[in-house]
Amino acid sequence: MIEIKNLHVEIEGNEILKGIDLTIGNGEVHAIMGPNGAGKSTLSYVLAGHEDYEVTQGEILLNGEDVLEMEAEERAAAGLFLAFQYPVEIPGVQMTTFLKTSVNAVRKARGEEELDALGFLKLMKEKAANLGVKDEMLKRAVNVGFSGGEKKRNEVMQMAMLDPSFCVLDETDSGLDIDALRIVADGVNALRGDDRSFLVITHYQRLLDYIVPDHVHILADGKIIKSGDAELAKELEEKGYAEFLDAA
Amino acid sequence: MPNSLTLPDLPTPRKERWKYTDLPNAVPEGLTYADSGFMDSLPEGYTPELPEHDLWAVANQNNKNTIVIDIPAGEEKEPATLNFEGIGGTFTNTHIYIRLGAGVDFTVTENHSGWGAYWRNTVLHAELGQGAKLHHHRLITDSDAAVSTHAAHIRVAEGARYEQQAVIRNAALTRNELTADLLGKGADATINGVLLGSGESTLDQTVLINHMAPDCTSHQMMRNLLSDRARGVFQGKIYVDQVAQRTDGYQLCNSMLLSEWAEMNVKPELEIYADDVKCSHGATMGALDEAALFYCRARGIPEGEAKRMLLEAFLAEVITDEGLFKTVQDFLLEAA
Repeated sequence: MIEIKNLHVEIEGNEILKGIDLTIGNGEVHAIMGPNGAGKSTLSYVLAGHEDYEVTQGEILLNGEDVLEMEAEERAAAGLFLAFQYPVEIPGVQMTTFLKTSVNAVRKARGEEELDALGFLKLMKEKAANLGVKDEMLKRAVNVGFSGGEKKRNEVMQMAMLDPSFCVLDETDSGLDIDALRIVADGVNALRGDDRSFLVITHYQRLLDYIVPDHVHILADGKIIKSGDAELAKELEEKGYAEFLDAA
Repeated sequence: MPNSLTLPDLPTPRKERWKYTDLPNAVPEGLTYADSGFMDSLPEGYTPELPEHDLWAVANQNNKNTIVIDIPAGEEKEPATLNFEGIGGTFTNTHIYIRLGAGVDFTVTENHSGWGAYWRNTVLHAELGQGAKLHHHRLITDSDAAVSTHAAHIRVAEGARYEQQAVIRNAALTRNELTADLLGKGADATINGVLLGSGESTLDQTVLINHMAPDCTSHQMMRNLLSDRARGVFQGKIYVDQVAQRTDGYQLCNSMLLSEWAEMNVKPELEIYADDVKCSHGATMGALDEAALFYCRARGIPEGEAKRMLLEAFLAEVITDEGLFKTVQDFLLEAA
């Protein structure tokens, strides 16, 4: 369960988020839609703990814990996962090494036993198979030379491996063709469950045909201007953002 | 300046090749000559032509210590390790001669370390016969107060290959200088180096590759990491003689500055007299990739561990020898 209360965020003195209130209960999937520049990516980065963004007011609670007091790595350990819009390429670091370091860092922080080579390999192979991630991809450097679809599948695979309680998907549909979109959406749907909540950030309704949300919110100019159920996304797709912006 | 030593005039920064590295100023005071312990003598009748060079001039003033590795064609020899340990207050000079017969494949590792303020100077002369291979590893981790200077002159015959991997860590001043003459068709020189600077050290890699025959190749790959007030220098020159057609020469120097006071000086030079050649050089200077660091942290990897992982990846590409790379990892544990 995540609670965002009156969140105000600045970057270099410009206020981007101007009072966001949003509560996502356990097992719920919420979508945030909005035009470019509404503050969608800012929200995802702030949740994940990027240091360039300054929170000037408000609070974020993850299962009752104050997220804003935590470093990015502590948030990951506490159960927060951000699937990046633009997954970062890390030349020279092999996927497998990266994943093992990540999984074991999180397990250690959670007080769980670290996985040995064999245990890790088993976990990785299982999660990779579910998302159609090939062995050859795991031998490459992190995200280097990956296609758009491979990058996003890789994000969802990491999500599955880190067992988070709250997942943020930042424009996970961008750069995906319809087949890749379906694989990624299936991967996300397989992770849906009573003890996990999702925030799906997207510009287009398309993704929400595959990951059907319980609630949809429209974000414009740093505020949520309208909330509704999955039908709201369809309405938005038909009418366009302009009508909602004018009404607000 | 050391007053009990007889020295030729030391090169000052007014000399182009020493512009960024002030040797006379760095040499500790009150040094006395000492024996480096190596007492080989040159094979009878072998009189290599020695280069004219500042550090050779220093060594020639006091050349009683000599290492000779002479492997005739058809012989095999186990990898050799040469250990140099500096002792505070001393000045040592060592001549190293390596001669490999045709087809010989040999690995030599030099370990340089020590305590206190000393000056170690080594000069190395190597001759590689046709198709011979010399893998030369240099681990130069002298004490923070020491001066450590090294000049190598390598003559590479047809189809022969010289490879150097150098990891250079701290010392008040370290200069690792190399001249490789590619003398026969298809000779190759591959030079990989890493400078690891912290504190107030000055670390200098100076490389000159002379392409003197057709179809030769040379690669220089440098990766440097400088923190605190450390200064790094890379001077890399590729000279291509007019007979050296179809030369393939490549030089790249990537440096990362981990503090705002750290400094890197890069001077790439190409001098080309042949018309059918492929030569390139490049240099980058940067800090740690913040986006990559955030990505790692968002995946739960603590900041220090993430930094080390990224920096290791940056350096691992040039240092493939495990023993040398261990020093890189140790440095990262302390400095990053």
